[in-house]
Parts: sequence; structure tokens; C-alpha cells
Amino acid sequence: MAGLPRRIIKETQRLMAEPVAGITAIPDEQNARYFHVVVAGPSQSPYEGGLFKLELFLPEEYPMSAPKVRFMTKIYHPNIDKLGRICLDILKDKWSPALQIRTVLLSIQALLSAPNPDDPLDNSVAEHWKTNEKSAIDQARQWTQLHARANNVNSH
Amino acid sequence: MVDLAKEAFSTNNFGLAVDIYERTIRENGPTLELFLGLADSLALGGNFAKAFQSYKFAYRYGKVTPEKLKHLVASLIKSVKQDLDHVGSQIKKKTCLFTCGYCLGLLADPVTVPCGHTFCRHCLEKDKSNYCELCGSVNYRGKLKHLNSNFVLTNLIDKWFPNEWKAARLKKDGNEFFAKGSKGNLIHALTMYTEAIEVSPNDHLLWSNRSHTHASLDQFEDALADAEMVIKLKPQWPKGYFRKGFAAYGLGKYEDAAVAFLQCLALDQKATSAKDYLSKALDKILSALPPDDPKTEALQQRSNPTLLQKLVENNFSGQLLLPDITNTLQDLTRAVKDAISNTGSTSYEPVPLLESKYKEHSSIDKGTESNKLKLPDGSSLDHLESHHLFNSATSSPLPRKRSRNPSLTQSPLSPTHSSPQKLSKSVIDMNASSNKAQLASVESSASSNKTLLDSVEPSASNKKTQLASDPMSADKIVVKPKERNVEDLECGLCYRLFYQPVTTPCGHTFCRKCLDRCLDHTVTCPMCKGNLAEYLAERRQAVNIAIEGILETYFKEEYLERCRMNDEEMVELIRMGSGQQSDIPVFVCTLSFPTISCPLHIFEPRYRLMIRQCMESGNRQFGMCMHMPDSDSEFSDFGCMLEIRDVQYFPDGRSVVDTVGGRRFKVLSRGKRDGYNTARVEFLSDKPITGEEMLVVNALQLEIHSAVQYWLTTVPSFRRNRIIQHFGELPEPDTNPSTVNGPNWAWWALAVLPLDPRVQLTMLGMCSFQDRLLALKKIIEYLNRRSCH
Ligand SMILES: [Zn+2]
Ligand SMILES: [Zn+2]
Ligand SMILES: [Zn+2]
Ligand SMILES: [Zn+2]
Repeated sequence: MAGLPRRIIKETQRLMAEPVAGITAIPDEQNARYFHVVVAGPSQSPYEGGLFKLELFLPEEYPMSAPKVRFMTKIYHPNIDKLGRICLDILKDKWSPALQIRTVLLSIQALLSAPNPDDPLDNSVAEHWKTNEKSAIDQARQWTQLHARANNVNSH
Repeated sequence: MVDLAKEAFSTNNFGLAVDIYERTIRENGPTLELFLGLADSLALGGNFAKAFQSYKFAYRYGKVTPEKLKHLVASLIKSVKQDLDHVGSQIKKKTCLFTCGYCLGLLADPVTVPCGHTFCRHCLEKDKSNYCELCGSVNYRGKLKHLNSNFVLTNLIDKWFPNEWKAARLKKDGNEFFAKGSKGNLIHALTMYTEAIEVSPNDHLLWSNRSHTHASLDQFEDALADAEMVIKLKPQWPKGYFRKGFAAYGLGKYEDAAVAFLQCLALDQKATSAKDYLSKALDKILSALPPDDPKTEALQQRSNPTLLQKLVENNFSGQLLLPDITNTLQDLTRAVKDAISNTGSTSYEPVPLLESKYKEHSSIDKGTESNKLKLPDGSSLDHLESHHLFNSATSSPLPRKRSRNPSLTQSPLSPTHSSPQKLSKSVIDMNASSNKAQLASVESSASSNKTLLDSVEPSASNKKTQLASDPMSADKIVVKPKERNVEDLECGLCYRLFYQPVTTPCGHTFCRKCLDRCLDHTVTCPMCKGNLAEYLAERRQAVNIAIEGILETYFKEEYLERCRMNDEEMVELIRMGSGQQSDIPVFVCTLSFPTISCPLHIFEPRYRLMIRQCMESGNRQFGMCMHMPDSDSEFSDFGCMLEIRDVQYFPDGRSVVDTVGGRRFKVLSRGKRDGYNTARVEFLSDKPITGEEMLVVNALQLEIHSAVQYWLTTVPSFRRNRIIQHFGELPEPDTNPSTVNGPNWAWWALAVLPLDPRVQLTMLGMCSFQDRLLALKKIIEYLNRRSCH
């Protein structure tokens, strides 16, 4: 009924004016609640050198409910499952309306830097991580090379 | 006889007491006790002139302790106080925005209490009462340590008043030295205060502390000079007069001291130390030995009277020796009052907006008015108004001394530019200054004595120069517009300027509506996750008066825009449910019927919001439709409006809403708003019953009504009781059934009879009473037949 809330407009403007380093988030031309996000794999992580595509959607209830975020690019990570769903507390029960798109993106970036196999979403990956971290990291690095190479992003 | 006089005195019959004492003195000769009794009776009777005389006599006949003057002191206070009660509250109300209502200084470590007022933390800690200093409402003071400092205000003060912060730190150091007490430490304290004054010369608290320190070092001349400065800066602050009185007392200027203490007490009747010192000063004055040469003394007094003597002389109309002190003191208090009404410019906020603010909440309109007067050069009115204010308030012929930036003291606003509001303000100012002029002319013979009135004019001009050159004044913010950042007053939830800002115990500020929506979901602070269960349970959520004032004052345009946005949202809500076709909020639950009461338990966040919006918009109604889990449309095509009669809140924010059915409607289309369902509906009304039909309808009505009555007798009594408890007795048949919804009893029957909801729904949508009666007839006949078998 109402147009786009002022808050979403402002958040978008601020994201454009001062983007988060290593992240681009661009609203869809048709749907201002839908963002095309690209996160660069943080340095010194197995995702370094990769560019990961995500989709971020602000539901009708936003900011009363959290944005819906999903990895579109395949990623080998204990807290991200095969469908790209992310296990991140602030996207679930720890969500607060005072958080914003920016904080969500920063948290996802941090999650790539510090995988948390004790709170897994994908059990087999987490198991791999816990039993043989080095091998898991190698795997993650391979997947990054395979699926998240910079030139892949645009072709998807 | 004396017993009789005492009795008259104790029953407040002071006139009689005076008569008896006077007679006794004439008949039995004078004694200390008799004169004291006479003096007290005169004082309490309000005859201060004769009272002073009698006290003086009493002192001739024996030792009178200051303690014995308590009736005089009490009566003096009472008489000065009368006039200031009203003014006092006005003064208090004007102290807001960045000013603390206790110390009248810049807020230091601001804490917002539940009534919405903000004070320095240490000032709150000092107050042992349970009541807000400004509005008197009860605040949970035991929990002061659980109240965080207000982040928004702390941030603003930090940005807008850097010098004052520096001064505040120096003052803190000074206070620490002062507290240690030894002479060396006191001298250190003096140095700190002096440094602080250099940084922030308009902070009366600094001068006050330095005055106190000087007095503690027996440097009473310096103490007096500093106290005079305090009064210049904050004439409405009682403690300034106490400092002056204390210094004057130290210098042996008892009459000045008495006047000052009385001024202090006029502004604050609770100042007990001022009361003690007033007694002592009066004691000194009254016990002074008669002069060796009364004639010379009297002559001297006439040519060069002290203020107290002048007060005496000017009001003692042709009577004997002592004056009627009351009137002159009232003039004095009036002068104080005038000075107060002109002090807007020394406080941290410009006056005009505050005035409009306190008239009523709809100050927005007024703001628009003055907003239109924005000058073409783009300069803000805040700036102009405050300049205008102190210029008109201080239109003194004295040269502007020590102005470091003389260009700023020129008002850019000539009177022709004034808005009506401003004009009326300057009229008041004119009155004030003419008043002062009058009093000053009364003063003119006074040459050696420094009096309050002497100091009014120079203080005003000082004020001006300081304001112009010192960043402490409110318009500094206008001078540096880049510091005026809207984002400092932006709600972290809606990203707009605060509207009806409320501050949580954890110190975070949000628009009330924004916070309410968060609390619908979870009772924690959206910023810090602090527990807000108690805050929610209190249901006070008072608007933060300081922040709202800052918005109105410094962010006028943006705030007006924000208010306009809110009004638009409200209009949308208010419009809901009006007109024949309308958009309404829909509570999806079960069916309800016209005139039938319907209590609802509201716990879902979206419906909490819906009920709140219904209440806020004043609409107090919403539609209820039946949940249709099997259909595509989620809720039924027909429904009934529910009018809210009462809302009872649980501490956790859930509520029981007492409603009663209103108009029926047909859903035309469905929508959503803020998470709940809405619908565009057409309201239904029964088609009128024509004259011919009326006989048939009425006969049918009576028949079905008695059938329902009969049915009720067949119901087991426990069930019948429950029905009656919930729905009331079966209403009587209606003699005029041709109304919008038809007779009530038929809805009662529809609600009570054991029916399939789909049948109820169909009947709710019928727009003919006769049709509903026929449908009811089938049902009730079936039910009654069944109950017979
Ligand atoms: Zn204070
Ligand atoms: Zn209050
Ligand atoms: Zn808000
Ligand atoms: Zn908080």
C-alpha cells in the first residue's frame, strides 16, 4: 500500500555513497527491496580471490524482521549450506530492527573470515572442518577457484 | 491577659492579639515578651512596618536570639513567595533543552527520567525526593544507577558546547580541591574556577563556586563581586542571591544580606540555610544600637539610604518609623521576575520557541508561521530571534564594553521585520525595561550601595557582549551550521528525524511509534538489547522534552516536515472506516455482530500495532472477519466493525480489548498494511421496511422472539447463565425494526444460537430484516423441535 519506506531509501543511498569495502550491493531496477550483492573473499581466508554473489531481500516487515540473504555462488563453508542459506544469528533470533543492511553484509564478510564449525548449517562440511581443518580449507580454496573466480560472476 | 493574646495568636486572630498586647503594654509597662508577642502578631498579620518597630523595641528590653525571629522570617517569606509561586513554575518550565532544571547549568552527564525531563546525573543524585523537579511526577529514583546517560544529548552537547565541556572538567578539578578544604587547596580551587571562567564566562555555576571559595577564604569583597555576576547571568537562580547574601553578611552589610536572602527565599522557599541567615541578618539589623545622634542619622539615611531603608521609606506612606516592607519587596520580586523573563538569551535556548512550545503541543502551527518569516539571505530565525531578544531586552544606553566582536552585537533585524510573536515579546520587554527604569529611578539616590537594581542594567549589557562573543550562547550553533547535523537527531529505526522521541532507561532514544513496534516483538532495546520489560510495563513512554525542544528550535524546518509526514500517516489512519466505501484494518479471527460485545485478546505483534493505531488515530474501530483457512482469500467476504470501548494492557504489552459490534460490511478488495490485513469495504444497511411489510415483519418478529425465548428455557441452566453472563439478557423486540442493522435481539439470537459459522456469515450479509427473520425461523423451529424430542 505505502511506497518504499524512507528507511530503505536512506539505507540504499548510504550504501551507495559509502560502500562497505569489499562489498557491492546494488538494488534491483525492478524491485528496490531486492539487492544484488557481491562479496569479495576476505584476504587470508580460503575465499581470498573469489567474488561471491548473494541475493539480499528486504521483506515487507523489514526492519521488524531480518533481511533474507542467500549465497548464489557455491561456497564451501560450515555455516553456509548447499542452497546458499546462511547460519548467522543476526539473521535469525538475534535480529534487531536497529541493525541494517550494512551490518548484515559486514557480518557475512566476517563469517567468511572466521568460519564457525561449532554452529554448523552443513554438517558434513563442519565435520570436515573439525576433523581436518587443513583439508577443509584446501577444499574451500578449490571451490573458490572453481565457482567464485572473478570472471565467473558476470557470466552467471 | 498575655494568655488571652497568645490564644488569639495561636488561632490566627492576629488583630485581636495586637490589641491585647498593645493594651497590656500600656497598662502594665513594656517587657521583652510583650513586644515580641506584639511584633510577631504584627508580622503574621502582615503589618511589617509596625512589626519591625516592635521588634526593635523588643531588642531594647532584653536579649533576643535570631531564633526568636522565626515568625517574622516565615511571614516575610510567605509574603514574597505569594507573588512568585506562579513565576517560579514558569521559570522552571523554561529550563529545558540543554539546561538542567536543578542547577540551571549546561547538562552534565544528562540522564532522562521517566517523565521525559533530563537533568545532570549529579543533580539527580543530590535530590532525595521521589518527584521530578520540573513536573512533580513520580520517578523511580532508587533506580537512578540503572539509568544510562542519554546518548543523543551527550553527543550533541559534546559537539555543540566544547568550551563548556572544557570548563566543566576544570570545575570538577576545582570542586575536588574545594572539598579537601585547607587554605592551599581552596587557593588551587580558585585557580581552577578562574581558568574555567576564562573558557566559559557565562556559566553561572563557575562564578558561584568561585564566590563560595572566596567566601571560604574570608575574601568577601571578591565573593560579593562573583555573586553579583552569578545573579547577572541567572537572575532566576536562587542560590546566586544566597551567595550574595553570604558575602554581604561577611562584609557586615546586613541590610543587603537580608534583602539578598529574602530574594533567594522568594525563589526557593525550601532554602533553609537562607532562612537561618535571614534570621541572623535581621537580628543584626534590629539589634543595632540607636545612633548617638538620631537626627544626623536620620538625615544621612534620607540622603543615602540603603536598599532596605529605601524599601521601607518608599512604602511607608506617611506613617511613623518602619515601613511596610511587603509592597516594595513585591516590586523587587517583580523586578526579579522581569529580569527572569528576559533571560532567555542567557540560557541555552532561545525563548520564542519555548514559549510556543509550552502553550500547547500544537506549537507546530506557530512554528510554521515563524518559519515563513525566514529571511531571504537564508539565515535562520534562531539566530535572528535570539539576537533580537537580547537586544530588545537590553536596550540600554550604556556603551558595549569589552565586546570582542562588535559586529555581532548589532541586531540584523529591525522591528519592522518582527512577527506578531516577536512583537508581543518586545512589548513585554519594553514593559520590563520601563519597569526597571522606574525602579532604577527610585534607586537613583543610592550611590554607594550596590543593589540588585543597580546591577540590572550593566549586567544586561555585559550579557550582550558576552553572548555575542562567547560560544556558549544558543546562537553559536547557527553561526556554525555545519555542526547542525540532522543525523544527530535521527531515529535509528526509521532513519527519519525523531518524532515524539522517547528515551529508554538504557539511554537510547527512538520515535515512540518506532520503539512501540519493536516492543510488540520483543521487550529489549533494539540498540543494546537491554531489558525493557519494566519500561514497557510502566506504560509511560513520556516524550523526551529536551530533545523535542531541540528539534523544534534548531531543526525547525526538518522537524516540521517530519510532523507533516506523521500527520499524513495519521490522516490515512483516520480516514479508514469513514464514508460509505472505505479502507479498514481487518482483524482476522471469527465473526462478530452488530451491538454484540466482543472481548479480544491481542497478542500478535501486528495486531498490537493495529489496535495502537486505531487508538492513536481516534478511530477506535476496525473490522473483524472470519478466518477462512480453506479459501484463497484468507478471510471472509463479510464482516462487522468492532468499536473499541476499552483496552486493558498486560505488563508485557498484550492486551484485552473490549469491543462491541458496529456496522456490517462487504469486502470489495483485500490489502496489507504494516503487516496486518486491510480491506476496501462497502458498508451494509438493511433495506427499509415499507408500510405494507411492517405488519408482517412485526408479527414475524414477535413470533421468532418468543421462539428464541422458549429455546432459552430449554437450554441447561449452567449454559444459559453463561450465555447471559457473556451476551446479556435477550433484548426486547424492536417497535421500529426499520433501521440500519435491524433489531438487536436478532443479532443476539444469531450470536447465541448453536449455528454453523457459515450460516452466521450468510445471515450477517443479508440486507433484509425479513429475510433474516425467515432464516432464524427455520433454525429456531428446528432447534425447538429437536429439544422437544
Ligand atoms: Zn544540573
Ligand atoms: Zn518531569
Ligand atoms: Zn523512528
Ligand atoms: Zn538501549
